[in-house]
Amino acid sequence: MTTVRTTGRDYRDIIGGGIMLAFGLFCAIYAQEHYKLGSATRMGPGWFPMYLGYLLAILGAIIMIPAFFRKGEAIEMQYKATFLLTLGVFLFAATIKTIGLVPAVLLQMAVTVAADDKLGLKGAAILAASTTLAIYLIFEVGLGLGLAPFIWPFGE
Amino acid sequence: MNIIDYVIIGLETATTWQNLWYCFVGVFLGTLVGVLPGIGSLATIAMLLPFTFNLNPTSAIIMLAGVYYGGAYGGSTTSILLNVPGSASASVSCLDGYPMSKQGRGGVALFGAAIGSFVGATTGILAMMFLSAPLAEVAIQFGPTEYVSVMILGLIAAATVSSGTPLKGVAMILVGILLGLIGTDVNSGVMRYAFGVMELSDGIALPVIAMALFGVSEMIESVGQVDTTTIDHKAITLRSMIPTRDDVKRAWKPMLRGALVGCVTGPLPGTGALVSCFAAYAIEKKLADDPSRFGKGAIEGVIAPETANNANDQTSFIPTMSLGIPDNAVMALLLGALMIHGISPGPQLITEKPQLFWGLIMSFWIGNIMLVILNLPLISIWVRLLSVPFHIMYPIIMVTVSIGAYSINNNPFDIYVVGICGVFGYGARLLNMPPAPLLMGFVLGPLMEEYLRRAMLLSRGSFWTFVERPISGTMFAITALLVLWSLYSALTGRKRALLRPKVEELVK
Repeated sequence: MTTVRTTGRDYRDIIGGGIMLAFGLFCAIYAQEHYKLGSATRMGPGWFPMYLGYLLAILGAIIMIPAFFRKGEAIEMQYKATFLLTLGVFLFAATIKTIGLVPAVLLQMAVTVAADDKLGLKGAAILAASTTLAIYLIFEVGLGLGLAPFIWPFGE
Repeated sequence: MNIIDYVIIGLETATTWQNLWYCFVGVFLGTLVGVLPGIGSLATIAMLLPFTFNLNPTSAIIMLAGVYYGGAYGGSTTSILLNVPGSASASVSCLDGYPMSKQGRGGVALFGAAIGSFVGATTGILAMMFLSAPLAEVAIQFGPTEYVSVMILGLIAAATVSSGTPLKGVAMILVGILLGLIGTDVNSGVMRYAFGVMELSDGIALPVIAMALFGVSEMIESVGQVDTTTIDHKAITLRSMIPTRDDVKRAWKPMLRGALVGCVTGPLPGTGALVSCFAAYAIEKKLADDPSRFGKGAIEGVIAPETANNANDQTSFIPTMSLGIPDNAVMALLLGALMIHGISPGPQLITEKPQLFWGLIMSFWIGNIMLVILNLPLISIWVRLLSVPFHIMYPIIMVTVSIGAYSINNNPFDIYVVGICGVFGYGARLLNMPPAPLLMGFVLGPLMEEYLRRAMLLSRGSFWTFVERPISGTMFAITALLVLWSLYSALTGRKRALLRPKVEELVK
C-alpha cells in the first residue's frame, strides 16, 4: 500500500484555484481591452468571454481561499513521463513534414519507450520496428492518408 | 409515418455492408479497450475521431457509438476475472463477480453479465425508440431562452451531481467554454484569442482537445503505474458458462429491475453509469431474502448492475440525440463529431435525418448482438489480451495520437497543440480538476453563446426572461440549487458527492 503524504495546506486547490483565477482574469481583461463589448441586447464579441472570465475568476478564488486553511495531499508528479512523452509528440510534429512518416514514428517511439524501463533495448527495437510497419500498412496501404513514408532532404 | 416505417428505414441504413463493418469495428475496439488496462473508451473515441472525417456521418457515428457501449461489455470481463474494474462503473461488478471467479464460477458470471448487458441494452433501445420522438416534439417548441437554460442545467448537472469536487467541475466547464471561443466569432467576424496565429482562426479542433485530455494526459499519468496481470485463461470454457437452474431462477428478476434502473438514470443529466450500477446493486441487496450472500458471489450482484449499466449507456443517447444536450463527455464527443460533419444536433435531427437517427438505433441492436457473440464464444481471446503489458501499449497509442492530430489538417501545428494541451491536461489531473466537464463546455460553448445572444435580443436585454418563462424558470431553479450545493461543498471542503455513493459502503 502506498501511503499518501499530507501537507500543511491544500496545495492542489491553491494552485488549481489560482490558475483558474489568473486564467479567468486574463480572458476577461483581454476581452475588455481588445473586443467590442456591446450590450446585453446586442452582444459584441467581447461580452460573453468577459463575463465568463470574471465568473471563472470568482470560482477560482472560492476554490483557492479555503484551501489555505486545510490540510491536503502532496502532489506526486511523473516528471520523466511528462517530459519524454511530450518530447516524443513534439519530435513527431517537427519531423513528419521534413523527413517523413517512417522516421517520425521511429523517433517518437524511441523517446516514448524510454519513459518506462520495463522494456529492454531489444524489446524496444522490436516494438518500434513492428509498430512502424503496422502503422505504415494501416494508415498508408489501408486508409490511404497520403503521408509520405520517407522524404529525402536533398530534393524529391 | 409510424414507428414501423422508421424501424424499416433504420434497418435499411444499419444493414448496409459499410455500416455493418463500421459497427463491427466500433464494438470490437470497444471490447478491446474495455479489456485492456490503462485505456478507456473516451480516449479511444477521441483517437478515432480524426479518422472518421472522411466517412459519411452515419457510419462515423455508428462506429464511435459502438466503442462506447462495447466498452461496457469489455469492462465487466476484467472486473469478474481479475477484480480490476475497466471503468469506474464496473467496480460494482467486482463485488460479486470476482468471488464467483474464485469459486470457479467465473464462466457463469461472464455469461450472466453478457446476457444482462444485452437485456439492458435492448430495454434501453426500446426506451430510446419510443421516448426520443415525443421528447423532440416538446423540445422543438423551445425558444433560445429554454435552450440556454437546458444547456446550463445539463452542463452543471453533469459536472456536479456525481462529483466529489463539484465546484472544480463548474470551473472546468467555464475553461472549456472559453477555449471553445477561440477562433472567428460568427457574428462579428472578429478573431478571438488567436493572438495573430493563423492556425487558430478556426479555433482548436475538437479531436485535438479530446486527444490531449484523454489520450496524452492519461498516458502520462499511467506510465509505470499500471500492473500487468496474468491469468489462467484455460479455465474459461463455453461449458463453464452454463448456468444452473437455480442461477436462472435467481437472475431474471434482477435483470428486469436493473434494466429499469438504467433507463431512469441514463437520460438524466449527471447520473451516469456508476450511479445506475450502484442503485441496481443496492436494490437487489435490499430485496434479497438473504442479503448476506452479497459480496460472496451472488449472481444477482453481477447481473443487476451489468444490466443497469448497459440500459444507462443506451438511454444516455436520448437527450443527446433528441435535444442536442449531451449528458456526459462521451456524448459531447459524439455531438462534436456530428457537428464536424455539418449536422446541427437538436430536436430537428430526428425528422430531418431519419436515416441517421433510426440507423443509429438499429445499429445498437446489431452491435449488441455482435457483442454477445464476441464476448461469449470468443471470450478466451479477450482473456488472453488481459496480459498485454501497458508498457507495450502506450508507445503505440502515443504514435497513433500524433498521426491522428496530423491527419486533421495535414498541419504539424495541431500535433504541437496536442502536446501542449496534453501537459495541461495532466496538470489538471494532478490538481484533481476533472477534464470531462472541460470537454463538454468546449463543445457546447459556442452554441450557448449563440442562443444566449438570440434570447437576449428577444427579451431586449432582460435576464428575467430566464426566470419568468415557466420551463426555463424551472430549470434555472434546479441549476441554482446545484450551484449553491457546489459552493457549500467547496467552502466546507467536503469531498462526498451528492450522488456518488462509495462502493465500499455496499459491502458492509
